[in-house]
Amino acid sequence: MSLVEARGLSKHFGKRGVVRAVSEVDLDIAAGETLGLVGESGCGKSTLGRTLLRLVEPSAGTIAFDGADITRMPQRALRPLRKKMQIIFQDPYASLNPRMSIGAAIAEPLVIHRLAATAGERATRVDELLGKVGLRADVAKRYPHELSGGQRQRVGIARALAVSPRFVVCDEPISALDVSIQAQIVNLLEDLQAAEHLTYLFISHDLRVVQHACDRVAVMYLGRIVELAESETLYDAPKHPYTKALLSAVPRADPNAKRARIVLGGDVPSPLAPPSGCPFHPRCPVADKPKACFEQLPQLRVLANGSRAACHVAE
Amino acid sequence: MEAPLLEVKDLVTEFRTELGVVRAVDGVSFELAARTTLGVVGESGSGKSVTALSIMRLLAAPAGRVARGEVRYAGKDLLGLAERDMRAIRGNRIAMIFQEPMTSLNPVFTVGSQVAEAVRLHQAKSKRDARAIAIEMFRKVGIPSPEQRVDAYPHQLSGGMRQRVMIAMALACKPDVLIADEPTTALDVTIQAQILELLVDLQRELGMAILLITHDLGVVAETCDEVVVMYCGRVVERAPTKVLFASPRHHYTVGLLRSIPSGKHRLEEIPGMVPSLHELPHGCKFADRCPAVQARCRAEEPKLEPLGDSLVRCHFPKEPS
Repeated sequence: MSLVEARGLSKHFGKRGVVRAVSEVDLDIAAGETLGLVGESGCGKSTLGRTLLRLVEPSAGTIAFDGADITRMPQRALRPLRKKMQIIFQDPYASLNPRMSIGAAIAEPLVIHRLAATAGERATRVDELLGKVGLRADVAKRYPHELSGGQRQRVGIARALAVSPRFVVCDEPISALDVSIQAQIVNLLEDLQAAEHLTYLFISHDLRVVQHACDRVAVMYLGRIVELAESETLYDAPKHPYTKALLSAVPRADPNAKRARIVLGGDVPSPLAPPSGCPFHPRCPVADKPKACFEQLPQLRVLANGSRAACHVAE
Repeated sequence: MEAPLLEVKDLVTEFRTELGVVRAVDGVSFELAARTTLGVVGESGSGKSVTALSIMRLLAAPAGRVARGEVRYAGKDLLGLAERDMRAIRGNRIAMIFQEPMTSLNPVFTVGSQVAEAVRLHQAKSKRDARAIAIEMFRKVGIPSPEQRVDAYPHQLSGGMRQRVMIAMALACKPDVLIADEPTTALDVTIQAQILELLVDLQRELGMAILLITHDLGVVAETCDEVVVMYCGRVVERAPTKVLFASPRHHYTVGLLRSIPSGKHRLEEIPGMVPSLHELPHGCKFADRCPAVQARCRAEEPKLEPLGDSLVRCHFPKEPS
């Protein structure tokens, strides 16, 4: 059974001039897996991640967590479930209170969810969490500005783990970090997943890291999932023309590599006024597109290799 | 081999801070020839951007200053020029583009007027001619309907279009050298591909030399002829791109290349973190993170020395692969 299940999930912002940030997304995340969510800025990947956690209220559709429908669940009833669903943010500078010591920041969720009865118990638990994320115990007395970016991200991870979650949305967890630190954090997330039996939604625009870290990958464009496949399948044989272009655009760290780059023309259209038919059709490099591309919104369908793609021409 | 257009020799740049003077750049040297692209790779604090700002003489004075060294452009030492003479070169013969195009453009003027201003600063052109040059440059950098877009304000353009405007502005005076400081870091990959392709095409057409500052080794592999790897303000390795990727010799370069994800096997990490410029270790600055460290590394800082086709700052470099 899926741990997280979304059906027809949409999130629209604004009253006049509606931005369709997330449109009719169906998504299942199995317990223990890492699902990658990729796409360019503005495609709705962060909004989708937050809507799944109900940090953003959905406009339409349903969300189920561990079998329970949480779409309209009142906040009070949702609170015990919040322990099970956590998020790690991109910018560890912005997500820590600069006036709160690291120890207090990590203890905060323990206090909110009444997970430690005494100050002594809290301190023990903070020590243990710091150890888990590879930080020394004396970091508890320090403040965010005294730490490096990588150390701050470890603190963000410790905070998320404090309440022993089952599902963690990792929203661009390494994008703000230096290259030599990124590998440390990716390895830490993988170790913690194994040790704590975590399920991840791994949101990133870095396609190389997603390939490495994820079991399955969903590609978003203009608020919709346009392709969903096993990671290996998606990278070996992308089916949606957008996925193909996206993968071909990733610079390869090999000066001898032959490039067959598909350079897309134009910019991502505004989600205020998405194009008719297939939202990708104005940039789609496929020649001799059938009429359907201009008129009909393609739905995700299963292809011969098991991938799912929302495209009229993909085979 | 052509005579280098731009030569940086033993550059040392210092900043005064509350905790004392720090050396952000310490003894950096390289040459850049026409029609070639030199990549400068390093992490935050490695001194790669400060090197660029030192060349352009754009350091925030009085805190930052070039303490030593030479920057020669076509034989002239730029560091010794009067500010007035430097202004004739900056933006004209040597141009620069930055990471975040939104913060480099003035929000209250149209993008066309800003490109035209850059032209009129260096060339005796009428407003009308400068505007025509702006439109021509917009066309050259692939901005659709340039006649209309010149009258747009920066906020009306996407990030990719703004970076194209910056490139149009930088290239409007047909400079000999373009310094591009993380020009695609703020952009999405499909837009990054467009911009890199554009820079390569324009280089072919206009013949300028490019100094490309980036943290992305993939971008380097695809665009650069030669690479300089920086760590703690120093050049630790310098080599032709193919040599560097095929056979990295400094253990920091090796670590950077290995930490790039490829496939499913566990990522190799570089342990620890970059030391603070306030508390640099004696000896080799990478020693605390290096898998091949020995006693000598902590006692004595290695010099940048030739090794095969590379220059390497290491007592015990990796064997060639």
